[in-house]
Amino acid sequence: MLILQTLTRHGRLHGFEIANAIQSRSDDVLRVEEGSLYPALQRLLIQGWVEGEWGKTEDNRRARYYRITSPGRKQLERELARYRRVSQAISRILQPV
Amino acid sequence: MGVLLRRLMSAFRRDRFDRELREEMQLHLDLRAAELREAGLEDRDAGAAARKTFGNVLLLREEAREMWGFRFLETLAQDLRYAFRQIRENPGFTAVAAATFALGIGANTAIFSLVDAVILRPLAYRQPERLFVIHEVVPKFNFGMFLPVNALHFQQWQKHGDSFEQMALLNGITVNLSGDGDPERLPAARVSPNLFAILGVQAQVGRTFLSDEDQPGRAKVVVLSNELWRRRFNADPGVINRTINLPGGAAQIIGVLSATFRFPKLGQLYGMAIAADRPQLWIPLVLDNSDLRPTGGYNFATIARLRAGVSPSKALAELNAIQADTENLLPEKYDLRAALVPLQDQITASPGRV
Repeated sequence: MLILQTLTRHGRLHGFEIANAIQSRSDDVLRVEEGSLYPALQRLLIQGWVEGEWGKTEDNRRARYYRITSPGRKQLERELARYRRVSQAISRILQPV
Repeated sequence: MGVLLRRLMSAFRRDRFDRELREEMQLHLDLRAAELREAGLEDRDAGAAARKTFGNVLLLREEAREMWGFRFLETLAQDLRYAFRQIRENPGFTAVAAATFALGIGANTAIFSLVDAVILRPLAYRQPERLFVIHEVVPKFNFGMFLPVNALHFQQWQKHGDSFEQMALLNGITVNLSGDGDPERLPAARVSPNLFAILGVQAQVGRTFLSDEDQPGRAKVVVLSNELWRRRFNADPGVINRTINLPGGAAQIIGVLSATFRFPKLGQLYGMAIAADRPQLWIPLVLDNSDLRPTGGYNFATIARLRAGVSPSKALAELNAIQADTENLLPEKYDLRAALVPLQDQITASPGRV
């Protein structure tokens, strides 16, 4: 969900940029093992929710750029809807009396 | 492109997949290290710190590979290699296993063929329970085993018997068919003209035989099996009245049997092992003097339709009485008898002697 959302916001990113975007966006709260991003990206590729394409970085290194696909966008909407439901439920429970 | 297809395609490019994943991860590490260097870390510390935040590269790569299902393919390939090695190293065991499979599959096929013949396709004739095969029994010759039928004896049964509506004599020959395409050798049946009436079977195209078409001197006629008609004549209804060349001369095609008409291999109609296939051509059986000797010439099969209300045992008693009279035509006493077997039992070789 985080990756899909990030790609929706920025369009075309390679793995390192995705990791940085997620971290900066979350004010460094979400700082998991960065490498776990890559198996996650593979999973999205398998599902067809993102597509990868090799290109060049600014300093001319090969990098795989990821872009969200339209099935990916639909999946993101589903996940966001589910997330909102859960988070609303949690916040209602946690409301101060 | 479906999920499965993507997985499959990736499986054929596994090396490339690995290379790309490694390259992607390396770029990440390098960029992170560069960032840390800019923040003031030493080269070595920057690299170590980048790796630390990244996590275990090998483990992550393995995780990604597994996600694509490569693990499954690798295990499968390993299993197959192991299997082939075992086969090579244990030829005896392999032979036994293969033979077991072969026998099992063979037995299965045999049983299902039988089930198909017996249960799934019962005789598609009119009132098949009244159809019988008649054999000759000459104890003096062969201890009471069944013999094919002598044509003269058959004529005595026809003339003096009353238990059967009709009976037909038939035997198999192989004919060379020529004209209209390549010559070929085909199993054919010579039959009494009333055989199809006995079975209650009509031609799909044209007609079957007239009752006098077995008389010597009549124009030669032939009825085709549906299979032959489709194979050699392209199921052309215009074949009727066309002539084909048979050993005895040109014969006129008068009819084609239906595709649902099934007739046993002729060999199955005899009480003893005789190799004769399912007929593709049917021609009237014209008897000559050599066929009508009182003894010898046990060359034919007989199919008869029992009269309604007559029990098979009574019919058999009558046949045996006629056989006893027929003995008088013979040069010596043979103790001639007959045997009666339901057609269905005859074909399925189940013991159903009356």
